[in-house]
Amino acid sequence: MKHLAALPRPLRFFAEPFENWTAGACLLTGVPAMIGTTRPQSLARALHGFPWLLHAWGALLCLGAVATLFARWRIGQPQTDLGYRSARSLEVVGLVTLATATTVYAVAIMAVGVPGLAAGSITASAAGACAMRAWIVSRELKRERQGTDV
Amino acid sequence: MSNVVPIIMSVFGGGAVTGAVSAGRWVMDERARRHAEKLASDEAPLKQQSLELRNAALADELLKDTIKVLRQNYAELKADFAQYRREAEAQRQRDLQEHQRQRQLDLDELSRARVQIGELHQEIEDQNATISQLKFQLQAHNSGPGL
Repeated sequence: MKHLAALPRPLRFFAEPFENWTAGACLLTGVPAMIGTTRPQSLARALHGFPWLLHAWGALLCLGAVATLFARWRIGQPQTDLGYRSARSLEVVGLVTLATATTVYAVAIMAVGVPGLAAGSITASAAGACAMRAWIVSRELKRERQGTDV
Repeated sequence: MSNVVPIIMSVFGGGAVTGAVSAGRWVMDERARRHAEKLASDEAPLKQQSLELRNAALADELLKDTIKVLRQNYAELKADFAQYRREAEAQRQRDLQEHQRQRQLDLDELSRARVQIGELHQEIEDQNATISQLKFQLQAHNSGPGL
């Protein structure tokens, strides 16, 4: 909350820039995958025979990205403590969803073989970053809830 | 490649469980937020009314105090003005008496001056008569025998 107050209002949305850009990229990737126009070849190969999983993966990406972006937007708005907590809970939901979807993608890329290890590691690091950030925010929220309960 | 599907399914499963738990917590937080906002919006008119009543009571109290002070000031001013009028009237009477006394003194002085003037006129007439008599005697003396 303190680092947000130090930022000008237009920049508060970008207080955690990696989340916004990652979520934006996931949204751009997820929409075509969800509607079935374009899909990653590695994932299509990995999930051959399970086309509905590809749609679910795209939907998961879109859901996580929208939740993360919406949560970041709400965090930047002036609000009550409960509103701030709710927005960060939604951020955790979005990040967990993004972490799941990017982990699936990373597994699919790495399953291609040795050439996919480098690209898969980048996607896996994105998944790890999302998961780590979700864990950090969850810990903060847990402490706040316990403080409120006490 | 066929071994990938179970891994992906397990990742999906794990993500779904974690996501569901996170979503549940978010729903609880969101409900708490909405409940607090609803409570605040429900209490807002009562708080506003309470504030208005308190302000009205304060204004009434201030008005009463103001009227009380104004009355006290008016009574003090009235007493001061009555005192001033009494003192002014007494001073006026004293000035009038002093003026009359001075006027009487002036009149007395004037009367005395008039008497003195009359006496001086009489003395002048007497002196004139003496001068005329002496002139006559001088003429009679000058026209006598032997000259």
